[in-house]
Parts: sequence; structure tokens; C-alpha cells
Amino acid sequence: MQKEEFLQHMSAMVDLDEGTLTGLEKLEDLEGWSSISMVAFIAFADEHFSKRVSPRDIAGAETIDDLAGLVGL
Amino acid sequence: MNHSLFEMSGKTVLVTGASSGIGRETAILLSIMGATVVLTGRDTGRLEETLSRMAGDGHKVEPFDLGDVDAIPAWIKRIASQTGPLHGLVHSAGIQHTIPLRVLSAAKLEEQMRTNFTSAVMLLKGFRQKGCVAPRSSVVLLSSVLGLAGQPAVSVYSASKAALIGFARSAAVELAGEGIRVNCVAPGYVETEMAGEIRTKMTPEQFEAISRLHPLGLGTPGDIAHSIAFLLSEAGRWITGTTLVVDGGYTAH
Ligand SMILES: NC(=O)c1ccc[n+]([C@@H]2O[C@H](COP(=O)([O-])OP(=O)(O)OC[C@H]3O[C@@H](n4cnc5c(N)ncnc54)[C@H](OP(=O)(O)O)[C@@H]3O)[C@@H](O)[C@H]2O)c1
Repeated sequence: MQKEEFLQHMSAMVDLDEGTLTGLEKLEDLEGWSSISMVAFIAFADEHFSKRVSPRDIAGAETIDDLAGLVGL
Repeated sequence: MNHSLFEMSGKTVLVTGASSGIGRETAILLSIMGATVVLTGRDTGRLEETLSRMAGDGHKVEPFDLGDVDAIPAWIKRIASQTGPLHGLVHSAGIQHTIPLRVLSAAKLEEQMRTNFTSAVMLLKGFRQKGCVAPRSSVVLLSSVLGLAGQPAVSVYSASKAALIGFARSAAVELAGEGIRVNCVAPGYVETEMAGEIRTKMTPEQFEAISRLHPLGLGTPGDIAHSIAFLLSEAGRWITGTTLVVDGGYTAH
């Protein structure tokens, strides 16, 4: 998966329109980032990257780009 | 009290999900109670491991992918032609995906429905065929407390488990005349491989919260196996179409 597609998926996870994320956004500044987004990210990483991401890994991420790093993008 | 009501010798039971968790424990318990068990799952190695822990002999390992739903009735016919008519069926195979609606795909939905629910319908369709089923028999389907009460991110799993409860009711009525009882067991959180997998996706605080929802604490596979064995045995002869909730009090509040 390319970065652009990743950002599209992330938009869905934080309830934003497609094409609005750049990657630099801080998670704490995103209104749609919630505990459900975290669960969604874990399921997404598993389904699309076969990566096991833990809640602890996510807690250590500050930006959308940090999340990209967790799945190796 | 007539203890022979719990006797299972001379009875043959097909157990799905026998390679792990609740299905494995049920297979072991039934063997101790005297039953002959046909073990199924996809992983032959883990089925053999269950077999190595069972009492008595004559048990059979029959690996099968229940995702191949159309092939289930013919597969049961083949098994019964080797074992003789079946007295019991336990459907413990299942999968649980934790996926919030915002990222759920139809493919993931269908995979859960197929493995948890469609397979159950096709198993029962196969089981009731002439020559496959003994004159008095019992079917136990593994539902879940999540089929009765909600939690976030498991809506499709909940739906698949609630579907089993509705299916068991009507199937029980339809098959009563054929001597087949159909019931569900709805466990709370039981420490198995499935539960372990779900636990890796939670923070310790989230896990603690789930634990607290069970007044009697978390369950063991044995807690569920005992209820399954009861419903399979003659002690449960007047019970059909019902759901036995075994959840340490999860749904009590
Ligand atoms: N553990 C709990 O807390 C809990 C609570 C409520 C309800 N339940 C229900 O109880 C049942 C057993 O749960 P468990 O915790 O024992 O699960 P588990 O340890 O994950 O075992 C699941 C079993 O399902 C089998 N299975 C999965 N997909 C299959 C497929 N396509 N074809 C054939 N077999 C398949 C697996 O066998 P292979 O890998 O060998 O294929 C395995 O033996 C499930 O229906 C579950 O939904 C569990």
C-alpha cells in the first residue's frame, strides 16, 4: 500500500473526508481520534499489513506519520 | 438421582473446533464420560494433540475447513458411514474479529458469518440426514454473551452469535419430531486462544474492565464443557430450543 492510500484509510478512521490528511497531523488535535479509532487501526494493520500493533504501540504515536511507521510505511 | 443419565458410552459425538479452547476441552471431557468423539478443525497437528489427551479409544481426527460450507453435508455423510449414526454435534468452531464499523469490509463480515453461523446451519442440515443421526440426539451450538449484550467493535460477531440463538429455536421446533434437540450455550469471557488473541488488542485497563464485568471472575474452558456435556446427555432430554448462559454473572447486571 502506498502512503496516499494509507492516508485515505486513516481519514475514514478519524471520520474526516478523504484527501484532508497530510500525515503531519497530531493525533491529539484530531477530533475524530478516539478509543474506537485505535481499535480500528489495530484491525486495519492486521488486515492490510499482517502487522500486530498493540495499544501500547499506538499510545507511543504522536502523529499520523508515526502510525504509518508502525505498519512499515 | 440416576447418575447413568450423564453416561455417554456407546454414543458418538462430532465436535468442531476440537483443536483449541472450548472444543478441545469438550472433546476431552466427553471421552472421559465414555463417548466416542470425532474431532474436527483445520489444524491436524493440534487435533492430534487433543486426541493424545483423551480417554478411551476409537476416536477419529477428521480435518475440515468449515468455510467450505456447501461441502459440509456430504462430509458428515462420509463420517457417519464410517462411525455409524451420530448422537451428538457440538459446534465450537468460530472466529471473532474486533473491527469497528468505520473500517469493516463486507468480506470480513461474510467471513465471520460463514464460519460462525452458515457453517452451523449446514452442519445441522448434514447431521439430520437419514443414516447420519441416531434416533435420539442432541446438538449444542456455541453462541456467546455477545449474542445477548452489546460491546463496541464486535457488532458482526454479536450478530453471528445472536443468529445462532434464533436458528436454534426454530430448528429445535422443526427437528423435535426427528428426535433431535438443538440448544445453544452462551459463554462469557473464557481464557482460551481466542480470548488471548483478543486480549493482545486491549490495554491492561481495558482487560481489567472486562474482568470486572464477570462477578465470578473469568471462566475456564472446563466451565463451558460441563454445560455442553449436560445438554448432550440424557439429563437434558427435556431441553430444546434454549440458550444456556454460562458467564460468571456477566449478563446478570
Ligand atoms: N473464549 C471465549 O471467551 C468465548 C466466549 C464466548 C463464546 N465463545 C465461542 O466459543 C467457541 C470456541 O471458542 P474458543 O475460545 O475455544 O476459540 P479458539 O480457541 O480460538 O478455537 C476456535 C476453533 O475454531 C476452529 N475454526 C476456526 N475457523 C475454522 C474453520 N474455517 N474451519 C474449521 N474450524 C475452524 C479452530 O480450529 P483450526 O484453527 O484448527 O481450524 C479452533 O479449533 C467459538 O464459537 C467462540 O465464538 C468463546
